[in-house]
Amino acid sequence: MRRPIISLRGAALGYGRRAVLRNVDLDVWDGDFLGIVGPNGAGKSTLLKAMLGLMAPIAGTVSCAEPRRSLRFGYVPQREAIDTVFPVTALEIVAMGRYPRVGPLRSMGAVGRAACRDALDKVGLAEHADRRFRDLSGGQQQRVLIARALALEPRVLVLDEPTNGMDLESEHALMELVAGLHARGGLTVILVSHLLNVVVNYVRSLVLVDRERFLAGPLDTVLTRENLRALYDTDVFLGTLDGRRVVLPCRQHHGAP
Amino acid sequence: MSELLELGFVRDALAASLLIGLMLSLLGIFVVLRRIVFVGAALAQVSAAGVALAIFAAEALGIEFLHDHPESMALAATLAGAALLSVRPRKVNLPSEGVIGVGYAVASTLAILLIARSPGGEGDSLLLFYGNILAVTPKELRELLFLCPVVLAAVSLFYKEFLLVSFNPDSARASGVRVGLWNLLLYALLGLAIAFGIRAAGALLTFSYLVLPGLAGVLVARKTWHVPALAIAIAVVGSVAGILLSVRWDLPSGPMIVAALVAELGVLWLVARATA
Repeated sequence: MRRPIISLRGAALGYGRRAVLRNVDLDVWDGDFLGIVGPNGAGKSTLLKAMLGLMAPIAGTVSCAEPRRSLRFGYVPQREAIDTVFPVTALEIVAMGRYPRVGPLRSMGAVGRAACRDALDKVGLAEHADRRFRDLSGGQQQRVLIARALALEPRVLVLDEPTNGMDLESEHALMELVAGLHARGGLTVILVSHLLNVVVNYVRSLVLVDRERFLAGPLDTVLTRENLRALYDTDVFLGTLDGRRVVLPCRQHHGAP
Repeated sequence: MSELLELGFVRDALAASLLIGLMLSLLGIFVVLRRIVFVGAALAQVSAAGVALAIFAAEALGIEFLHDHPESMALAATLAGAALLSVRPRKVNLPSEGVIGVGYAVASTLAILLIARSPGGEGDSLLLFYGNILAVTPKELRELLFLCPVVLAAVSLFYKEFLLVSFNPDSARASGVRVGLWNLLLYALLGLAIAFGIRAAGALLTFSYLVLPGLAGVLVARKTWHVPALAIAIAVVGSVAGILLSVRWDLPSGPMIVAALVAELGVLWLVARATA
């Protein structure tokens, strides 16, 4: 039977006493693929930080079904958060993801090294293991960061705006990779993005967030014209094209009755 | 040059600068990686404020111990300052540089105000901020001989943990790593090395050892393991060249070592650009 692994109840989230989001009720189910979508500055990353335990709620509760350590969150931060000044290779970045499992005063060992190589292989970058991270393309860097999260052998993969700054082809390839990891590995995936059109074609559950508005549930329940109109303050077209969901803002007919 | 090494005070100065250089160049890698280079300047001021507080308290309260051992207060203040700076203000979304800046301003002001009220006046303050490596005492040298292996061993043993929490603390925290604990240990090592470094070599040289070799290592290195190796090599070469040239040319040793470190940084940067 499926169960929630993270639950937020009446949570107010923000910095200091200033709440960015209020009255948040949300369950993240084991094995789910959850998308968190909203405009820039809507509070998506704040919600993510609260779920990861990086931020305590101002009010309400954020709880996990198990200790966070046993849930093993593989967190993929925004690419820009990684400093490229240090001459680390792709494999060394991935190895850092494994360190929490190794523990202090211990070396990686053959099993750990194999797990790192395997993680790079899963994201299709095995042959780039010894290249410096800063010399890789944006798409490759993002894949390395996913491999870094996979090296932990996580139960929950958390991605913060993974397709930022990518071209269409790289964006599609990355989303296919994440979808594949979810389907094959049974990973719970939490994906934050402002790209509604991309996310709705992959996730099973959806959170629409924009400061004062917060909607969460199964994709088909949340993804309605009414909800999107309320979120974006404009009428939207919701349909399918070549088997893929498409959301478009409707043309404004100025002066029309 | 060999005749210079026959002089006891030159040998002591060289040994002290090498020990301080070894510790701080290695710790400086994490300082550069975390982009908190001014933590060295802030902790130097905290250390100075500690000495000023000891001098002031010894006079005002008649505490003989503080009069004889103001360095004990400097050490305590630096460790307390390091612990405070290691805490990331998660609830107020304040950048680390902001906290370090506040620490620098508060400690500097406190040091100056306390020194102004101490019997020694400004003369003491100059002594605090610009200690002379050539005047290093046997006691200070013994302390450095004890501390240096401790710092080197701690950094070697916990290198991967320090790297992990310096590289992306949020990812580390999310995966269950006790980031606060490792930050505290790293900052405590920084505090110890800086406090003893300032006592023996002054604030300018201590700050320079903390920033310049690590920065040069990161700028020039092609592989990760090159970074600590280069940082240490740069600190060693700068120490030897600076001390020997300063004695030969009769120039202040601390600034001469800093000049040597800057020259190394410049040359390595040019070489790196030419070979990129």
